[in-house]
Amino acid sequence: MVYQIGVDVGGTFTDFVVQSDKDTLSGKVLTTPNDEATGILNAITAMAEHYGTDVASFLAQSDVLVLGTTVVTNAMLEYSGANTGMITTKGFRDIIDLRTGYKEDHFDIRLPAPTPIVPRQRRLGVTERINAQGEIAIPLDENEVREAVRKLRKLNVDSIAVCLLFSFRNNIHEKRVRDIIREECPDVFVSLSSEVLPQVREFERFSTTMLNSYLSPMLSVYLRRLEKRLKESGFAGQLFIKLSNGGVMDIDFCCDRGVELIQSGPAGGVTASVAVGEWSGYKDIIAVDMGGTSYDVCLIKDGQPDIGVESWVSRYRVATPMIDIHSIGTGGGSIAWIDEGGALRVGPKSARSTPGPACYGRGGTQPTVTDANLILGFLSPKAIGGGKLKLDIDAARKAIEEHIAKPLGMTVEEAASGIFRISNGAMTNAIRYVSISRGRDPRDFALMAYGGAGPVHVGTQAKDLGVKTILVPKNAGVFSALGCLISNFKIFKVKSFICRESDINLDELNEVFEQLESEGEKLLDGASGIMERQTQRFVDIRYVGQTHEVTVPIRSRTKRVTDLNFKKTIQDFHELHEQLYSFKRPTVTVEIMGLRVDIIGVRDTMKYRSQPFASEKPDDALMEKRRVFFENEGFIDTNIFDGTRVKPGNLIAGPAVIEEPETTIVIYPGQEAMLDHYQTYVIESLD
Amino acid sequence: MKDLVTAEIIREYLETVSEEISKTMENTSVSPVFSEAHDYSTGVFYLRGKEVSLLARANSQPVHIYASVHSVETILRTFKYNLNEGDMVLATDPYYGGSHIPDWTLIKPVFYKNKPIFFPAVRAHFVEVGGPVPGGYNSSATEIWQEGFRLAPMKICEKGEMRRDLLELLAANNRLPMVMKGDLNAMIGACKVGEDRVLRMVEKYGIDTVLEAVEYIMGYSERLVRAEISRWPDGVYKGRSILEHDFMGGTDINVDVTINVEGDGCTVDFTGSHPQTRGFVNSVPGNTLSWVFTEFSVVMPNIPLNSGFFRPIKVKLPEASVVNPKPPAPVGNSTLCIGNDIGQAVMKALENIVPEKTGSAFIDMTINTVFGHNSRYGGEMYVSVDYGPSATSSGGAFGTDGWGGYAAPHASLKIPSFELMEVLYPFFYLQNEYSTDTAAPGQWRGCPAHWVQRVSTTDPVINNIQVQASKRPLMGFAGGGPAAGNYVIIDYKGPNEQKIHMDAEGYVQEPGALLFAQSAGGGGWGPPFKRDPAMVLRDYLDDYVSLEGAKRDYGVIINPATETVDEEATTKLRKAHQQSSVSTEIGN
Repeated sequence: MVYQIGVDVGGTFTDFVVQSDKDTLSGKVLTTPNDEATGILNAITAMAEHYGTDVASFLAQSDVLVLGTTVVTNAMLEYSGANTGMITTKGFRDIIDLRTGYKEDHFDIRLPAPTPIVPRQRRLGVTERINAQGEIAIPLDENEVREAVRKLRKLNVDSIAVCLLFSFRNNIHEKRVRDIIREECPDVFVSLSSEVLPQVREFERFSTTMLNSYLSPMLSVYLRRLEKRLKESGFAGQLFIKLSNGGVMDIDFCCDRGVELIQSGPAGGVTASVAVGEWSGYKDIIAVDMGGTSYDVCLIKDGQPDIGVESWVSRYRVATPMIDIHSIGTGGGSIAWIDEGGALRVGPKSARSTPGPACYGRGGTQPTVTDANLILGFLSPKAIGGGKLKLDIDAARKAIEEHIAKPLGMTVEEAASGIFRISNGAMTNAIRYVSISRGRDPRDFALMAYGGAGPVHVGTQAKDLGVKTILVPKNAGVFSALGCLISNFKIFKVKSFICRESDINLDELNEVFEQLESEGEKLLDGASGIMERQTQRFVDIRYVGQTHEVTVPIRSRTKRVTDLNFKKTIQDFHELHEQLYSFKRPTVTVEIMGLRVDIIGVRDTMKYRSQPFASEKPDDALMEKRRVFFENEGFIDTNIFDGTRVKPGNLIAGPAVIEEPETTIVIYPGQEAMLDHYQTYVIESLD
Repeated sequence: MKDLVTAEIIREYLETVSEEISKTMENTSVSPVFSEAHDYSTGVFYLRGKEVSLLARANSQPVHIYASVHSVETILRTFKYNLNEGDMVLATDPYYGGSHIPDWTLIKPVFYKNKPIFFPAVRAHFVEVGGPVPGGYNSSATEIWQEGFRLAPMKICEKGEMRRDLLELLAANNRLPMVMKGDLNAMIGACKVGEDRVLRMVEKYGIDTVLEAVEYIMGYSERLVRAEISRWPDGVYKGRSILEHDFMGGTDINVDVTINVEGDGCTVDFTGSHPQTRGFVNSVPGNTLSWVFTEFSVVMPNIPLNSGFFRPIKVKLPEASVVNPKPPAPVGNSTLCIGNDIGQAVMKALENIVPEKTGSAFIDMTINTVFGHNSRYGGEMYVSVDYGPSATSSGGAFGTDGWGGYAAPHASLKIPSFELMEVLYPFFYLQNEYSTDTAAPGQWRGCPAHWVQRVSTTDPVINNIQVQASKRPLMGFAGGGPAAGNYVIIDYKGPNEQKIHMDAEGYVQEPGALLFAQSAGGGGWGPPFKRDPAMVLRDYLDDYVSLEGAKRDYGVIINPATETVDEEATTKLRKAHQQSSVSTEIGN
């Protein structure tokens, strides 16, 4: 037997998916707080038990383990990274504090500064300067560097970010600084801005590099320990880690690039959406993940998730390319409240998992979205989560009555419906943000919903936006772990390359592309199990004077970019610009700002086995009827189905509710659901 | 409104639309003033009868907030409401509802059943607008015609067609016609995006529901503002701020404000403010009101800004004064120069009512318009604003030290990337950094002053430098100290070194010559001797205060060898200070 393992460590549960020669196993164990490794080994024990073997022989037969981790995300949330210092160009040590003037709130003069992860005392300037052309304008003063390093050592720094101006043009000074750090204190972790993100714009580059220095040391300690424990337990296969860009990489890479793992967990869900969507025949998907505190949206076009470079994480700027997940604070636990002007609002405050919604009966008294969903009949008044979580409808009614219905002079049901509709409005706006706002029509996409609460609401978003197809995977509860298991290797390389269209030197351009490709390929050399390598080249282009670029793929797969390829890419830029922003200016000079290469190592990964269709009639799964509230209809008698008994091919017409152990799916009037060959509910509606 | 929930959904939707219009501007405009520095604003307006209302706006330079309502009103009045589908109207003139000539407003009427009802709008600061001085800041102007090409409201698009004749007229009167056309294109695109989204909303909810909702939305903000004001004690509260000079010989130009709180509303009266002056610091009503409402929104930060917000606040502006001039008084720099004082005077009056909510919410003034020819791009001409030397104005506030660049309400202005500035222009920066002992002292201190040094590289750079708040820096609040003030040094460390406190028009910075600028942060909040000594120590370690500064400004004695606070000496010094200030009070 050969096993492949995907594990995703979340805040509450550690989820896993195992693919063996004969079946696919999924499950979850409790996460051990502050000790991810123990939770992972508990998960492995559960897997071994399932296959009737012991941990050592199970691991000996496992050739791959892919991990999604939250250690990096948590380090940012808790500001618990390394004691970090920065060496920068003299005169520029406050770039990080100035943060281009950005403030999260535009009217609150009392908003405090972000928690300083590298206070000014540990940011030291040294005399040196590279100019915009990449020439040495002021030579590096090595004595100052040595003094700075010694000063940082006195301050017990474990990690240093080297952030010099224009190092993306010429990194000779940054490299020399690293050499000197190595001489003075060999144990300190070092990141160079020219290696982490060789791109113009000092704030973005410095911030990303600083976070890399802040996050990598603890990540590397954790991963090395985990690797050791796995080996001691008998694991002889390869360990890969999920990256924010949607791919996976080996431990050596990840230990140096902590900043690339900031979104390790959520990226898994998006990867799974891509695969599960394709199994069901959909390549254009908007994936929505609704948990207890947030609603995450990601657009997938032609099987490729949007990649963004505009992220802020715990108030720090991260400019490495990562899967572009738009997140808003509307989840099942979001609290409904009435503001001073008498308006009903939902979120962003959340009851989280403790105390949780009022109906959880764990001491929560504030009304939440989940409480409203219970009153409206969407959730079972008995229990959810496969019977594990009992719900107290009286507590839900009391919370809504007291805090919303009474003050607004409404009935409890009207108030619940108001909470439901306002939260839906926010979710619809979030989907509009990734689609309409970016020049894409949501009607061209299928919506895929996962996370505990997403499939209750998704039917409304589909209706609001004119989406005709909704996909709800049955295995949504372990979606991120599944995503880990089926990820490819992905390296995204970027490099500033600033030049006007008319001044282009294709030899130089090709040289940079080749260099980026060979650097990326080298990183993949250590990885095994690659079936094929794919390379995609991109150019960041803008009209002269603009400060935002459009990333344009080079469509041809020629080895070198030819004159014709290049001109075609410029033409594509004008078209893309028009699509995104409603106009183009084909007669105006354009400017190249950067080059990008994505290198993908396609792994031989699993796919669910196709299940044959049973009959269309879902009668075996019908449990009962319940009064459920639908807009414009009021409370109507609605069929409730037991998801565990629904078979592929069963057709379920709305209005209906399907109760799965991991989630509840609401089929709205006018919609029809079918479980397809690959364990995904496909819900369709007419115009 | 029967259906509050729908109204709330429509309110959120309109805010999202304003954000979308704004994002389109940011991503597509070509001059860094918009795309990098964000000196523009976007919103959705509404016409009912003859009353124009602001419904929603995106985060942006607040100086535009109210002025844009004024512009839309004037545009509609000028055309006697005679608009057609596909029209787009442009207006820039201060005496036709604008603020200063460089601020161009473009609106697109959105029709329902042949009536224009909604108006997505973009208002943006154009970096070049013709006239005698590139960049539009003519400090020797004494009448409006000397400030740039005046544009009364005109239809730049008529029934869907761009008016080429007008476009060429604009181009002929602009030093950078391609940039101007590019930015105008971005504005048009952004308004079209707004139109599309508004129409989708009407399609979805039906016009009646939408109209009911917009009334509710404004009533909602009005209720919130009234609730806040009714908590303020009735009474008369005064504030004053003085502008150093008007660039044409006038000095000490005062702005006086009296806020009269009565019940759930108030009057903001500028009677007593300086008569209009010769120099270009006179503020037309749109600009004055924008500054008034900016300060009110800072003390009520969570209330959505729309026309309902304005209703409980009545503003009285004496005629022919510096806050309400008669044409043809020049106005070019009023968005900053007297604007800052209008804001500060209002905030000083509010300090008497809600001290814990007040603090620096202004944008301090050192501005440097730069232009010249760039031999790296074939001698191409450029005009830009070097925002580097005009950064920072954040003051201390109750519970928070000043930090970052601009004070919160102006934080949509971005400090551009210095690397990009060097790629685009013949500049080389030597410094862009905070300085020591320059933060306004306070229990919560201001942001330290920002130092910038810039050399010209391949080509001479022409600088139009204008400085204010050199001797009258931004004030502190609730006992906090004032800021350090601003100045510029031209030919720094060179043979013709000169410190500029007022202005240097057309200063030619030859290659190799160095320019230095200090731009101070905002004022401090609360008595500095009450500052937590641990925070003073932190500032000492971070090089924001020196050993002497800690002692002088905060009464904190630090032992440099151990890097700890000498508690005993500190307590003693602070006690002595307290006693001496008590005796001074008695002496007075």
